[in-house]
Amino acid sequence: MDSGAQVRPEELQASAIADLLAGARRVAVGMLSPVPGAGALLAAHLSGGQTQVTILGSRAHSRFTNGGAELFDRAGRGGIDAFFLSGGQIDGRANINLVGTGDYPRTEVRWSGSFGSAYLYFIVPRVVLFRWEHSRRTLVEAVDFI
Amino acid sequence: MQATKAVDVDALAALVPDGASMTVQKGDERDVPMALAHALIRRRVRGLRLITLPTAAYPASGMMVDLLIGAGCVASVETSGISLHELGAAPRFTQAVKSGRLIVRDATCPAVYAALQAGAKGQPFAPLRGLIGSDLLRHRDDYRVIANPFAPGDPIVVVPAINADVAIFHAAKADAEGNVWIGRDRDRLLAAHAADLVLVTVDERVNGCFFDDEAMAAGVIPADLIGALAVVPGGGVPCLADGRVDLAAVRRYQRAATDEEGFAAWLRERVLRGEPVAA
Repeated sequence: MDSGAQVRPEELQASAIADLLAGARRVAVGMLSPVPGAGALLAAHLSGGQTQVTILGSRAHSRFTNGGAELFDRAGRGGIDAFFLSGGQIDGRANINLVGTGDYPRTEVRWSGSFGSAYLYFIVPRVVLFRWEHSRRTLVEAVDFI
Repeated sequence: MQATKAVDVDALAALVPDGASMTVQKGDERDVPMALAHALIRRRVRGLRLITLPTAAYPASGMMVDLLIGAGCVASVETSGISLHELGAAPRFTQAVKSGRLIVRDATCPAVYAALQAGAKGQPFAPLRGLIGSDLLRHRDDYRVIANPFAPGDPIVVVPAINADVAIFHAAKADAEGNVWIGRDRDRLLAAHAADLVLVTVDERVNGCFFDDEAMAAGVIPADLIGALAVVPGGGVPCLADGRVDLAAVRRYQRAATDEEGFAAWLRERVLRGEPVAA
């Protein structure tokens, strides 16, 4: 490291994520995952061409041609080795909640929704959970909605 | 073949009946028909059953769905995610869920695609891996688990086909026949195959026929799948012609829509007056 260089925490997280992707052939990056995206691109850079990254919604980092279903179709065929998920709540059994807190459906706090998680979590062999805020609010005993 | 005659955007909106099930695209392309949504609000459509394909979680798509919900046009929404993307929550959606005014049928993206693909093929349902053990499955009484008929001991989820009454979307251009160019975005083509009535706005109508150029033809929805077409320059705003989104405009909306009064003022000033869609 350069003397005096400041390493930002986001860079550390991206670097840690890159380490977790070692050996993966195809990595996909979903919605609102900028730091995992950076980590995946770092992993691709370090892999000498072995790791290929697809970032959904990106023109520069996607070679998909079959619409939004392609990620899920490819994953179903074993073609995605690693993916990233997060949640408003994550619990100790690695359940995640992207829907809201309190009693469903009239949740006290409503988040966006589950996106592809209820499928990709089962299908993709290496799922990296990421969450910037480590607090009792985010890392809970048991999530309110699995 | 006979060319599709273009109508104006209010005539498109008039084709959407109250209570219709209606698909909208996810908004990562220039596919958000904001002008048509404004026209639907002006015509005071009620009871729409929205289906987002599979989400409305990009700034423009989230904003359009939020407007329709806030304006009282929507009874229920089937979705895998609604937000204003990096700007955060969609304010009227969030409020409508909290108050219990809106029924949300929570889905997951691949289930929506599988159901839409089944709908496009005329199949009654589609099997899908995953989901078993999730609350998502528990709360969807129309998602079922069946035994794989070809392999013992292999339970699998099946989801009913999506065949919406209406599909609405925006696209860059249509040709003289009324064929609509969408580029590599297969989602709008899939939506067009699955819906009973397809309503499209385009920025421009161009001369010639897209099928004369093989490279263009690969990214075209044939005119005979399009129920009605309106030419609305800028009809996809806040998606801009170069593919970017006018984030400042969406942010202004988000701030205004934080409370009822601000949202009502936004509707009054920018939607109900029927002026061209401007950010």
